[in-house]
Amino acid sequence: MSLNIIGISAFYHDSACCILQDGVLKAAVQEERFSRKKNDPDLPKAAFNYCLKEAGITISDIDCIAYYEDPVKKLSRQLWSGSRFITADSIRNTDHAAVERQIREQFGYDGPVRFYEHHLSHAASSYYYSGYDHAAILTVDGVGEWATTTYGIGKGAKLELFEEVSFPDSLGLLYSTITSYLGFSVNSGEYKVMGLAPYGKPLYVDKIRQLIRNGEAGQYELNMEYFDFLKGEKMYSEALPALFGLAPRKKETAILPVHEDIAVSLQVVLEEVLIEKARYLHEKTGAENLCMAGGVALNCVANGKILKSSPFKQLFVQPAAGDAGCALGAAALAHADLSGEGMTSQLEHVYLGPSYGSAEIKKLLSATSLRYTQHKDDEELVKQVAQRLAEGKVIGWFHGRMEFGPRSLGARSILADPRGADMRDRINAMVKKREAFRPFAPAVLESATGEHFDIDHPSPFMLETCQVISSFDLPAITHVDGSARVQTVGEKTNPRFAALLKAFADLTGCPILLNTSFNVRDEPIVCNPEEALICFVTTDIDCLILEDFIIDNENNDTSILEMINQNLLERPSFELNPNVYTFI
Amino acid sequence: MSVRPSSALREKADALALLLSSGQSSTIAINALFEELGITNEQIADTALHGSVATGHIGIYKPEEVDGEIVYSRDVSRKARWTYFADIPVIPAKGTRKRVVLLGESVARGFLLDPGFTPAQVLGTLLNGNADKDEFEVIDLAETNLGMAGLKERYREALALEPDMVLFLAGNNWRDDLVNMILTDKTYLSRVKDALVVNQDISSARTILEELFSKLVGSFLEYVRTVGGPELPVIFAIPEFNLLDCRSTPGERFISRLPDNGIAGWIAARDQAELALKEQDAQRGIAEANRMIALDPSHPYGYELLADAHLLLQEYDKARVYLETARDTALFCRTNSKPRMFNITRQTILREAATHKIGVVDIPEVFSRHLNGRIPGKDLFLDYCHFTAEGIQVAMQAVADKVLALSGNKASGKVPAASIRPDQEVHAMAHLFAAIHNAHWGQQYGILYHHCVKALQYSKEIARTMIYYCDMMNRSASNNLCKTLEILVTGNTRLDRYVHALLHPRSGKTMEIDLVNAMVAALQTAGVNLNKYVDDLRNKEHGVAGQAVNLLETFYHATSYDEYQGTKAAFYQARDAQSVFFLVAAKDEPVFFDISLRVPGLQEEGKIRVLLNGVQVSEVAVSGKWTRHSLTVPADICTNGINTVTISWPVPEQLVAAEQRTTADEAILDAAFYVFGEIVTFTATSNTATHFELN
Repeated sequence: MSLNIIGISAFYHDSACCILQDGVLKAAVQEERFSRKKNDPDLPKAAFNYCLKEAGITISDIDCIAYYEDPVKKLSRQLWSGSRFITADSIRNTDHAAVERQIREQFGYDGPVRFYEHHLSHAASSYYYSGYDHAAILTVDGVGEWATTTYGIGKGAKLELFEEVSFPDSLGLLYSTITSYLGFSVNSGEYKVMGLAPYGKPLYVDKIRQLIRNGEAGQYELNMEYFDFLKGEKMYSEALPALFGLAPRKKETAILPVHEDIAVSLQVVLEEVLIEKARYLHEKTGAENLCMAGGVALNCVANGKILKSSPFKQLFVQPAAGDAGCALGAAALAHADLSGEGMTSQLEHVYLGPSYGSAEIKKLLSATSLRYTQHKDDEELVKQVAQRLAEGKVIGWFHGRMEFGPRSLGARSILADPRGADMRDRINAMVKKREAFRPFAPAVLESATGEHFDIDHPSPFMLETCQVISSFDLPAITHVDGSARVQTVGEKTNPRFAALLKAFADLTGCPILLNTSFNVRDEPIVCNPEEALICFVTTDIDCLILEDFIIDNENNDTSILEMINQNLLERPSFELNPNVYTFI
Repeated sequence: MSVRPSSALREKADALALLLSSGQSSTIAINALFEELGITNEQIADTALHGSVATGHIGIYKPEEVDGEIVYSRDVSRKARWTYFADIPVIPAKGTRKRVVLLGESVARGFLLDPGFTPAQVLGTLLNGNADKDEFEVIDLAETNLGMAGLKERYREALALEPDMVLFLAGNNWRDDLVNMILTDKTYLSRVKDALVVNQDISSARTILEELFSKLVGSFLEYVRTVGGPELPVIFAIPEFNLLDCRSTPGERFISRLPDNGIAGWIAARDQAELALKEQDAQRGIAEANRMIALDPSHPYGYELLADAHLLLQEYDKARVYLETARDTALFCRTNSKPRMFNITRQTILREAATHKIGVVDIPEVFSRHLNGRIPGKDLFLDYCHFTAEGIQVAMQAVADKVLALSGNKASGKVPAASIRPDQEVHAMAHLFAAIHNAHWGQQYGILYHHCVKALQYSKEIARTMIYYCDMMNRSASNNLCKTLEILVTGNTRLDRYVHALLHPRSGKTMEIDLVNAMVAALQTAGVNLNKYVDDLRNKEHGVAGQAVNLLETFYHATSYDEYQGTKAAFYQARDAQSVFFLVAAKDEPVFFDISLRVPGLQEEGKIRVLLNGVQVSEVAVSGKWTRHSLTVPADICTNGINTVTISWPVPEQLVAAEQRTTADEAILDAAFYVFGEIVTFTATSNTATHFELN
């Protein structure tokens, strides 16, 4: 009998479920991909069902459900925080056993449930999937129960956290506070601040430094004079605009150079602190390898600097470094506890979600008015797609199992030729329908990486930035500072995507494609063929590849389908409080 | 700025969290810790409510100055809601005509006939055709889906139009306001919860719900008079419900968690009552239906069967009372019941309106007179509450008489309401969408067929729409991607307003088997034979011959779009003693099933029976734990096309009271309704290659 462990993260944001079978990660998916509610926090019921189906088991075969947080410790921090939204009655009337009860009732599960602390889950999500047998571990996010930053060490199957920074001192909350001040949503706009930073000049570094005081060892402290998140209403106090001498930017208003300057200043200070703490961690552990997780670990610009500026030789960042990835960590911890063993191998890919067969897709397409062609020969298919890319077309690429985590890595991707001068603006405006400054990332054939990017190791999860050194002019994927957030694509993990890059290189000499997530602004990445079709007909994507099928926009009049799906379709929605990192 | 709480308090917070989570802690200790942490019950001001800026809008209309006068024109920024309102681009400045402002929800919109034929149009024609001294204009501000809170807002806004009279035709959507009122007031909530769950006293729960509802309706009447001022003439037209031809939906028939052996008794009585009525034995039907009601006064079906028995005896007054009681069980919120006027609402308005100087048109009474005491049904209603053309004519005649009387006009009778009619195409579309709407809310084949036939009688052209609809509903693709929806949308501009009815809930599409069958049968009466096409398509899209079909998808078990309002589990939950699944199979082909199921709370081993097309094919041992089974149905039982698979669950002989939970609101429903069985996987295939055989 297999040892079947379900990992769950839920009830704050980005709920997710995964299944480990004898230490092998069989499936992992965020609930938002099924519910279509961006950042869906609900118990991941659809994801749970999918995981069972993928593993070929039923509820009674589950040995343990591992949950990513300790509800009692979290409650303690909530009680301490003094939020204005807490009253004695509201706390009394809360069902404090709700997490376990809901897991049991809504999953129909009566076996053991194990609870692991939030940052321990983060740490495990990185270390146990890194393939290292000895590594230092750094986790950094907004807040878990109490911890906001932890330092740990992993050795074999054993993982230990030896120091933590406690709430309210938090690098994640510092970043979210400036995100909010710059007019972006807390908990989802942090990427935008990171993307904005290279446009600016670090003129406000000294002011940002006033927000955070460095401490002994792994410690640091926020200067609460500038923050207001404890009350639960907004992130920053009136002192922050006064410090910068600038009113907070209102959402959807013009982004000025000063906003860019503040963004880069924040980035500089974040990197300073992280590098210093990474050096401290190295001193304490002596490990050559560093594992990172937590929302701040998705700051790929900082990750690259940490590796370059600290004594660590290798870095592994959990691709789903945010809270969704905690499901993986909790499951790995339960596996270690129950089996006494760590994970069997490194996480080589994140193609852990649902896939859809040709018969199913053909049935769907035959119900529509769309003209399509089917190409059962892979080689022919990628040639056709490469040709379209070389002609400057934007491709919706749907192939194989969906990615787990925030990045599209060639399973649910929008692809384009990175050489076109106007490609970035076109995709931002007509396809993704988002801010013009947002950068795009490149996917490059692994074997050709060194010729085009200043990076000496694979980066399969698009979690590191490096300088573009290509002889090609690649304006669509090169950031204003000459950097790019690169994904290296190997034939082993995604042979069809690698074949496409090769076919494109054969045609153009360029083994690189612009690769962005297959979604539009404020919607989750597409999961199934229907969602891919809806995205295709409601955006300016030129061609959709659904597994073996090619659907060209120019051969189809999609205006009525666009009208129906743009105007008549109800879209489920969930929005985290955009003004504050909610703790309740 | 935030002040960092003392780190010394962390220990207190830890202790309090531990105590609260342990569930067995001392209140004194908890209170002391709350105090030390400075957590009180001080209410927080709802900042979200502040900052709404008055824009001068009236619904979708914004004020504009034209030639020195204020007119109201549609605001493009509110375009998403245009279809909820009448097709009126501009509300002109007030002139010399008496201005009657019509407010209300979809009934007042003339839903399904709108925009071709609406109550406002009929009323305007009647007033101007029959008044002896004044000219009138009826400003149609009715808005689909409007509840009480929205109605108040619209009323307040509409006063800017300087109405000479305000007419409300509303009240069908007010249950949601009642629910909000209860959920936002812990005192109300605990009263309802105590009665419904703790004491399991349904009569007392009904009394509380009605008391609260009456209070809410009374507050509305008071608001109308207060905001409108003492002199504004106001009429409230009380809607009626389709008592005869709108019955409870599958979701509304979930079986209550009855104590002791109540569930077994209720099911036995139901089976007997149904049998008696089938055999036209009214007296036995009455006796058994009364047994059902005695066991569960909150369930609509007992009252409906009792009414049917009285209808057999042509005792219409008694039948009416029971049908009204059945309708009013929606107060118990088994599901997201469709709009309706509750008796308590009507009685409150009849009782209190005069106090607030509000005139009343009691449409239930008007319809009763019109039908000579018979019960209103599909003659006056297209669905649960929306009027047919005849219904609008009759209702508006009564309203016009009241308006004329209040305004000091004498009715000449020159223009009778019956002379104001929609064109044939409007009738046809209304009946087509009535069929669709009734199907979506679980109504029976007979009523669906009636509307399909009516639609075809009014317009042969509607046959094309039906054919495309049948194609669309048999596809496994979502409607919003179907070619046939594109054809429907582009082929008929009259669909515009109702196009939403052609879209199903996301991941919730059903085959709408009864509706498609009704359309196919109706088309046959018009000389169109669609049988083979539909059979072939069903087989291609849903057949088990070439694929393993997941019978837990809504295609294969849902018969309506009503939705359970309590906690939704990750698996199928049976809320009746029998679960029916639809299987598209072929004659003489065996079918293999893979099923994992359990009977929650079952202490010892029990049995479920599995039937295909009514023939028992297997008996499976079940328990309170999940068990997985492989079953094979012999080839000779399957038929071509739709087959039914019935799971017959054990019926509890004795039940103890449900476990009480103190918090979650949805837990009230979870505790109130019984779960007979649960299924987590259920696949079917005729293809041995796709069948998973258990060892």
